Amino acid sequence: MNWLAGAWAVFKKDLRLELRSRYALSTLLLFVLAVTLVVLFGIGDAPLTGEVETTLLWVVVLFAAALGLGRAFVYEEEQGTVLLLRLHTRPSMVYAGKLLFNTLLVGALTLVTAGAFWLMLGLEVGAPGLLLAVLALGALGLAGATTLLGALLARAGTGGGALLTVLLFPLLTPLLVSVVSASQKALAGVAFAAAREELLTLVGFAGVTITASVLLFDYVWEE
Amino acid sequence: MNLKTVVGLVFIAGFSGLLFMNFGQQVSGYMSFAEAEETGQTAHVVGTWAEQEPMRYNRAQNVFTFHMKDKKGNVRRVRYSSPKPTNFEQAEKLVVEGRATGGGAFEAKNILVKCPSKYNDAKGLARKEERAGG
Repeated sequence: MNWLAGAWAVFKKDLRLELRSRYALSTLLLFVLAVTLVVLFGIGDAPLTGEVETTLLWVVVLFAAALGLGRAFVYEEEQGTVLLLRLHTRPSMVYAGKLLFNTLLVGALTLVTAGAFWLMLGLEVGAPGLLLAVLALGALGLAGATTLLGALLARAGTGGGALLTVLLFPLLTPLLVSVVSASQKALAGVAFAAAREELLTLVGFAGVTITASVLLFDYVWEE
Repeated sequence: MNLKTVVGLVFIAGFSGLLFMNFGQQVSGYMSFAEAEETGQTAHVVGTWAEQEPMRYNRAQNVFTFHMKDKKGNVRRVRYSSPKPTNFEQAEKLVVEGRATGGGAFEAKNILVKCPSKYNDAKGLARKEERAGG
């Protein structure tokens, strides 16, 4: 089995499982809807500035991601399919497949959240292209950081939930600061050049976490 | 060390350089007036007092207006809804925090006045005395 086909097979397996059980999808969707409703009713007609809206948006995405992303590997442990995966694929294929799946999941999540805010809270976006770029890069960085930690978490067994929070949140600080600042700029409707520092920070963050994960994943995955 | 590790380490070094350089710039957050006008958000602008332009304090409205020159040499009128900060004339550097309101004006919420040290900076002291005298 060549590398790409292997990674694609892992991704397709995860996608098919998710579409059957809809565990992550339904949890995340309900979470996003519940939070948006709380914000909608809590704030009422009070004017929301772009700063507050983007902060709320990323708080929702962060917590939803922390809720859903740890699942990718815990699921394999629970079903006892880890050994099978280890036998049939190389570690990097598993990592690539899971990363692709998690990126898709967080990407969908950020889009749904932004959509819900747009519909219910009247989010005004000055530069939609910039916002989409920020959401995509943010999703990639978030997925890159959580995929390796998800594998660690699954190996830690019970009590791993606290481990994810402890490890994830300090790691994500540069990502979150840049992503919030860049989204604020996108709402204000600036050109791409004005948000250059934030975008480059996001590219750097995704690059570092994904490269480090590729190097470290072998040790996490194999006994 | 095999090839994968070496390539990986090079990638990590490159990407973390990109990350830290841009993140540092973004967090320090000092902008010029032009950049502050472009983003339209709360910004910190560093500069010096443009002495040749008019400066006044409106006691009835409690508004202090002066002109500031940023690092790129652009001069903007700054409005500050408080009395003139102490040691304003002696400042060798000003940091105004606020947002650009258009029409070449900047609405400051806060002004930081950086004065030369009294104790060990002989050059700064001389400049301060010269200004106080004139």
